[in-house]
Amino acid sequence: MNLIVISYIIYLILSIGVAIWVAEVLFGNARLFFDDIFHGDQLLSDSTNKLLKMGFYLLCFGFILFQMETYQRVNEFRELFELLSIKVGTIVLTIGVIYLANVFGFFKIRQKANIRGGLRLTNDARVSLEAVEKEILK
Amino acid sequence: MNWMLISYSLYLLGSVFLTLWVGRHLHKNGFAFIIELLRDVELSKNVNNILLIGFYLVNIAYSLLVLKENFTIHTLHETIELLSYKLGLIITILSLMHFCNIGILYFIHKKYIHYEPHRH
Repeated sequence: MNLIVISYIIYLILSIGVAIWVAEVLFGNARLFFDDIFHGDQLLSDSTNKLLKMGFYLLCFGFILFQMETYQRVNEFRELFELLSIKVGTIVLTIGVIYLANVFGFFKIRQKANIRGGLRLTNDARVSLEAVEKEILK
Repeated sequence: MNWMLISYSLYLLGSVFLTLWVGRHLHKNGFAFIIELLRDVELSKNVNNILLIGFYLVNIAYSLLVLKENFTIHTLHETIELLSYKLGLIITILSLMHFCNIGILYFIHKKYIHYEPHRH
């Protein structure tokens, strides 16, 4: 019985760690996407980012907790490893699928926003783009 | 050691805390969307508060209603399993509500979209 509790604890630590790391990476880099989609409206882009991040966390944690229960008996360390590999593997795979779905969603939304409003570059991007154009036309 | 009591209490604490946390987060960050929709800061503040209270009510009521379990548990690892099942259900419902709220605001916004830039 004790080994099962240990495997639950390790499973929770690993899965929650992976979820938090993926969320930080995804929504840290998605800020640029949202700045472009909302054409520089900082408040709206920040709000969308935080809301989608919260939704991501909720989805991941719900799934992690649902997946946790197992009817397998764990009697020795070897079986603990095998059980952990199946559980954590399922979680990492699922989080990967959710992550990719989010990324494709962001691309789609940006496409739609550009069709509607035209491509707006941020100031730095515009400056560097003009520098590159000058180089080419020289 | 009455495991059933412990797991009920932990479940209640967990689900109330989660409801409050997600509700406050939506309240703070959803404000921008309601303003986009209604274009009036005072009205948006009031609508935001109304939605927050509604969210609290629905979620706390649901978690209280599904509290009861017909079996009884005797060990620590059964407690962990029960808690994971119940809290997982609550978190999944919360995430569904969360995405529903976002979706509803988005579709209403699409219907009444303005193309002029954002201004107050």
